[in-house]
Amino acid sequence: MTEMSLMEVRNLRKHYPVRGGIFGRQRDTVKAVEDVSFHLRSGETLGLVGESGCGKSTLGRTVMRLEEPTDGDVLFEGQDLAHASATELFALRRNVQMIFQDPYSSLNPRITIGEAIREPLDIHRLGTTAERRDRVDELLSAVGLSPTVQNRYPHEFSGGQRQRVGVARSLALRPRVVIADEPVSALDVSVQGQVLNLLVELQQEMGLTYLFISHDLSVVEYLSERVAVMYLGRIVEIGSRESIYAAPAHPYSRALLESVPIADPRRRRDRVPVLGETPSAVNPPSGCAFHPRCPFAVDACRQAVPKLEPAGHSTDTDHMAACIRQGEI
Amino acid sequence: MPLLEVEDLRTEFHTEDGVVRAVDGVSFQVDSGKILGIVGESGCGKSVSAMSVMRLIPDPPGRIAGGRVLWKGQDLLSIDADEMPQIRGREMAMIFQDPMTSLNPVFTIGRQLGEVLDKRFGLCGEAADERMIEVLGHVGIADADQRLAQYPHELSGGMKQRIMIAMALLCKPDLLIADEPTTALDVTVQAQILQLMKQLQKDSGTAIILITHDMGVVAETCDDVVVMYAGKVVESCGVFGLFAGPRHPYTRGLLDSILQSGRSKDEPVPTIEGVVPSLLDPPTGCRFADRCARVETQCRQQDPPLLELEEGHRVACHIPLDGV
Repeated sequence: MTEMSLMEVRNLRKHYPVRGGIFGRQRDTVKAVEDVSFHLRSGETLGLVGESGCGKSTLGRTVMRLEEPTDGDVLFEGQDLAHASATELFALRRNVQMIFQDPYSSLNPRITIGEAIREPLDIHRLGTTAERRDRVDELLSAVGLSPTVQNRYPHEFSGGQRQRVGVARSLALRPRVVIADEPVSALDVSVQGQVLNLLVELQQEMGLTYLFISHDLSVVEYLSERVAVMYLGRIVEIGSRESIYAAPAHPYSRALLESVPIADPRRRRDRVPVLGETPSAVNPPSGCAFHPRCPFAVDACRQAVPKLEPAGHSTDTDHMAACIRQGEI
Repeated sequence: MPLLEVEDLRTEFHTEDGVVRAVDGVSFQVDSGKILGIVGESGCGKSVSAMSVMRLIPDPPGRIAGGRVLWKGQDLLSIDADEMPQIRGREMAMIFQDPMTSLNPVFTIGRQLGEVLDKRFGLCGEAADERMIEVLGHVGIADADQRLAQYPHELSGGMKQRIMIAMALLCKPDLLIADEPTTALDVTVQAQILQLMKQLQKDSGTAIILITHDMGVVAETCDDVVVMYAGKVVESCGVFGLFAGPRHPYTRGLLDSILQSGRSKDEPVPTIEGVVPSLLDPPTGCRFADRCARVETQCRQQDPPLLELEEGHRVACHIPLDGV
């Protein structure tokens, strides 16, 4: 285990069977997460970017063990979540919590938001009734809501306020790691900024470590110290935020960054957008899965899956890319 | 004469809780062959404005309560409802965020595109097929002859949006209204679709209304911009003028909250505090007053009119910013 890393994911795989026919026999396998390894350092944010269907959400859920991993390890301070028994997992989960995208569906409409925030404390039987009540007040204040709102129901809140409730609930157990899956994607820009500022404040105050999953490259750039780029179930590039954004080594990372619209009409350009769309994960292309869309693809790219290797031109020793031509292009 | 001129448009919805004035006195215009962006956050009335122009507001509960929609000089709100289908589809076309809602799931792509050609140009048979394959090629669809035999569910989101644009190309409309056409798509596919729309404007001279919440998309695609807030237009301007010197505090706030590249969490994101007012019972005066740092007494008493402060730059604010 790397020194200082709080959490380490090793060769994680999550495969789903594709069934068909009248007997529902397994016909195929979707490799939603394939041989993914990374670590989280205490107090940092690792941004995980990729387009829809790349497996980033499945990866987050598998790390939390909301999905059973097919193979691989998920170590939190050396303890393996992936192979933990139910009792061990229950205890370990106090350290790793999750924030979801949709603040509308992740809260039960029938319970008040005070109850929703208290629920994890009840489940884990933490503190006396009075202590739990105080903790709910404290959490509401921490996320910028008045403790007086705790008897209200989710429908009485706006999207941004509901996401604040979601954040408060995820912090109830004082976790060390928070996995945030597209937490600001459903919010309008003016509200998105408020929630991002809140996440940063809480991180600084509580020393939280974030795995921040998003399709939005600007949000990931803003929040992260390190960034991992996923394509069809695999991490194709990982490195410091500066390396990924200023000197991306993988052609897919480049294409992704070049596709982001720039909010300045003076910098408008006629782009040559990357061709085609992400292929199906059921039958991914051979070799490097990006090769059919890649302007630099050669025969060798169709043969073997490229491994993550140090990005040669980078001064960042953590910068790795899975492209056999990264040195030449 | 502008191609489309919307004047003091008012559209309301009757709900159990009362009347929601979703569009409350909106004016803008679209010039021939130009791309107009209508930008604003959810609930600002940008989609309802577009649907009103097309007269596609479900009635009840909706109702166009006032204003004029001058299409090539003719008021679409006063013509007979039976005449609208002639204009929609021939002269104006619309594409939506979710292309699934506009494609019929039980017919093949070929049949749906063919219907357009048949109705609009009386074209069918082989000539129609050739034209369809040609247009699908234009929108970047390979194996077009196979695609024609497929059903919508067999295609990806980006592919369906391409089909919708192909349909618009076949109609050769004078105006295409695109309501968040790339919001549901991946960023690499979004770049392709935006490029395609610019191509359409250049090659066929089609004017486009692009409705979006994304200032980046506006900056890269539009000639003119209308900014809406809580059912009203707060600012309208050419795209360069707007980004260089917004004069409404809301527009300023929107532009400031964009996460420009290079920004990091060492500095907080500038935000617009507070929330959008309810349109059931909007405050008197300026609707942005409660969230505005420049607010004065006058702002809470009088609704600011949309005034032309410089040529082509209209602002609805009692205390506008200096610009530039």
